[in-house]
Amino acid sequence: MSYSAEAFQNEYLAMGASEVNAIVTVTSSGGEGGRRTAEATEIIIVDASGSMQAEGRMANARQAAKAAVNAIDDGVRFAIIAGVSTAQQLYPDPGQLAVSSTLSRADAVRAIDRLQASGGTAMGAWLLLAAQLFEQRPGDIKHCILLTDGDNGERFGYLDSVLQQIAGRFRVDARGVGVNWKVAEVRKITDTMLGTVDIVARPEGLIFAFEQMITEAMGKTSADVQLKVWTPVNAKVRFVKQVEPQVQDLTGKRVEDGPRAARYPLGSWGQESRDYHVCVDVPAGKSGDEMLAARISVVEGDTVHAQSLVRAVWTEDTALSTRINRQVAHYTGQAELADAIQEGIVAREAGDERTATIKFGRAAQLAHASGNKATEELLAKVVEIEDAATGTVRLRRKVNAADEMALDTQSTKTVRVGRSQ
Amino acid sequence: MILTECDSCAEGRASGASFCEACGRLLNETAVGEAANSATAGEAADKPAGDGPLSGAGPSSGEAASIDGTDAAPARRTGRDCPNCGATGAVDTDGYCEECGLLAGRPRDHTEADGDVVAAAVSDRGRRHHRNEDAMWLAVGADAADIVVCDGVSSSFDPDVASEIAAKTAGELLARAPHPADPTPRDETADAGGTSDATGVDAATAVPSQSDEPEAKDQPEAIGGPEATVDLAAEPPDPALPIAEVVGMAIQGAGQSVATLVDGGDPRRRASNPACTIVAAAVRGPHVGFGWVGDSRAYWVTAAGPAEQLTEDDSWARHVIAMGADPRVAMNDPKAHAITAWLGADAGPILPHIGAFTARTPGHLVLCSDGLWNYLTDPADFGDAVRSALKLATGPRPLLEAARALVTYANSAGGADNITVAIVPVHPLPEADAESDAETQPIKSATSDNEPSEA
Ligand SMILES: [Zn+2]
Ligand SMILES: [Zn+2]
Repeated sequence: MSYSAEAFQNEYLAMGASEVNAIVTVTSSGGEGGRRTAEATEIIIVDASGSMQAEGRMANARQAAKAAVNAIDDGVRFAIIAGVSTAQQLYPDPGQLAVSSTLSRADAVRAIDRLQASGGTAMGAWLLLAAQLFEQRPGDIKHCILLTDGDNGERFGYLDSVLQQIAGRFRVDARGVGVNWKVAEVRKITDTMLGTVDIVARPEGLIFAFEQMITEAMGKTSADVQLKVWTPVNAKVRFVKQVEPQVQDLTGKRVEDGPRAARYPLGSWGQESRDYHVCVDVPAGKSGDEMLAARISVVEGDTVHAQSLVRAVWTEDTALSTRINRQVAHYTGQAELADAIQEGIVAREAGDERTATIKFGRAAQLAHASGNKATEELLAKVVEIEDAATGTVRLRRKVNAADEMALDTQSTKTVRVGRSQ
Repeated sequence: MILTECDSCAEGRASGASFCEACGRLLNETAVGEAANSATAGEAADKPAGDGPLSGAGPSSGEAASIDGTDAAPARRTGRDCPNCGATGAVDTDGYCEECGLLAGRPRDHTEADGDVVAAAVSDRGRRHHRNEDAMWLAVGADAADIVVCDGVSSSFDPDVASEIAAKTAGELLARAPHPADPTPRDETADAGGTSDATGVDAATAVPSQSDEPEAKDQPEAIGGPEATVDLAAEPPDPALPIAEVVGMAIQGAGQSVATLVDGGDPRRRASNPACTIVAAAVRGPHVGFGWVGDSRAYWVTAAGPAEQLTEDDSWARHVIAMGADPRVAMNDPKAHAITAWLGADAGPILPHIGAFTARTPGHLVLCSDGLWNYLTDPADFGDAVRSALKLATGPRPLLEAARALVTYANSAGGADNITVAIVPVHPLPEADAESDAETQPIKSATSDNEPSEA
């Protein structure tokens, strides 16, 4: 795999300024011929709680799981977990991983046909079983699909403790079917596990959603890529966020790596490009001083794949120091957009219409200005946008629950600067 | 050049000045990926003069870093101590301290080229800019010198790379300037055939043929220098003119090299292509050919009196003064220094101005970037400053000391820009030869009819 890392910033700081911002674009050309440099394991968790009987969800979930299984590449290890009040391994035998082949996939499909909806929702237990299975395969590209349709039924705090235990060990992409699940709850899982969350409003959409996730997962060619950030003495990393394709705060995932350096997990990579916003506080320099504020490396184990430098140059020239870098401004806006939507939804649920209107108004303004059309369209289903430029909106009386949930899950999805402008 | 917004000087562009050199503002908003910068003058540190340019004494010649935006090679410690925090051996190959992060200095921050009694040049970052975007070239031989001074246009992307490649390309082409005493002037085309160099510019294509269309628009425009004959019909052409023609072609070659910089992968170079000014001269005995594009200057300084400015800036101020504007008003305009010609992909065909003269009195040829002349705009002051620098330089390397003193002068006056200055003493021929030279004959060299060799 070959990677590149490129930093975009305005390195000029006003006298006394100490905050350095940069957007680092990491691009991977993917494995040679699309071949994986690591082996892969895929686990599919299908919610089989009683509520899945409604609206033909179970039938569609079966179809989706089967489609997913059939899309698993030969040689990839896999397992299927049936999610009820406990975690039950549906395929292969408990504690085992199957090796994908025409034969094993056909076996798995027959097992899926036996899947019946009954019992509760215990996401903590499901994820813990997945973690145990993944543990057999250190070094693999580990991906898990989680399908649910309801609130977690486990005792309060249990899911959190499981997440703390398994954080970052594998990637989880979660999909909620229908409107009776909580975006915030599932997002907690996918944030911890560096994955994505989305709503599949109608059960018929599940097949497409599953196929898409598997296809993406099969495209990953390396397992555990990290961003190593070196900062000078007396400097402090304020935050490290993935900002494209979606906002994901990595600040809390910092793992120290020698003096003045730390690593942040980037998960598994295929042929793709992602943007990261790095913000560092450094001791202010004198006029004309140039400082290396951060050295950003893309690493895998001890291998440094790419490196980029984030600089700070202090100048008395305000024409220089007041210039705002387009990339930094754009992604700062995208992160604010995500926050504004999520805060608006919380306020509306709490009956605080004033706050909700302000937040959604700001969101409309940001989405419009940045060319984030998908988000703007979803916003328009929740509020009437009178004037996007000024952020003038009115809450809609009746909002389709699925639309609001779609807006919530969409909130973290960003667009690249200039792409749609 | 694509215009980038300059908050402080919108005026400068409205009037047609196409970038903000007017107010000295740097416009590049990002600067990722420092090119592997070894100072041009510092590249051939071990080569004897005559084979290549003189060595520059940068603080860390030979340690040029190669880390850029996509290079994965991790920085290594160089063993140098950090001048800022004192950490021992903490300076990385990319020039930053591994402890405090401060830039410990780049090779190009200060470079010197010492041609002993023949010439000397010094380039310095100055006090306000964080890097040196000026570049220089100096090659000397027996009674011969090739000098180039380039100043990166700070509103372009990677101007330091532009100035570096321009100085190097022009310098290499200047080596072909003929000695007027040489009985068999070298055949330009035959010579060019074998000259393909590391800059990727094939000399044969870099130097356009000028013989086909004598009236062609891209002919270097010739003007006279000191004591140049006003009435060309009355006297034979100055024997220095063929030298000037080579200088003009060297500048065109440099322009083509700079123009190729836009072809790299970096989109920012396409958005705001690397650009620079250039002033170049070849001195062969008493004969001086020079040429320029932009506002870097050449002066002639004699034993007394004001310095004679040999070049005419390609600048907004000069342009409007020529059109009849009040010089004092024009020079005080914020866009006075905006240049109207440069080397770069967006510069169009390069039309270097050239000039030539043969010294009749001893004097010093001084080439410099605006980082020096901005502090000495009065020709009398400039002459005095050069003479006083030369007078005070009594050590073993007087020319180098004098060049350093002029840089120090600019720095103590504010050092607002990068500063580059080159000094070449030019000696007239003995009386009898000079007479015949002026009147009829191709000169008989009193010194040497060889190409530049050892200094
Ligand atoms: Zn230090
Ligand atoms: Zn300058």
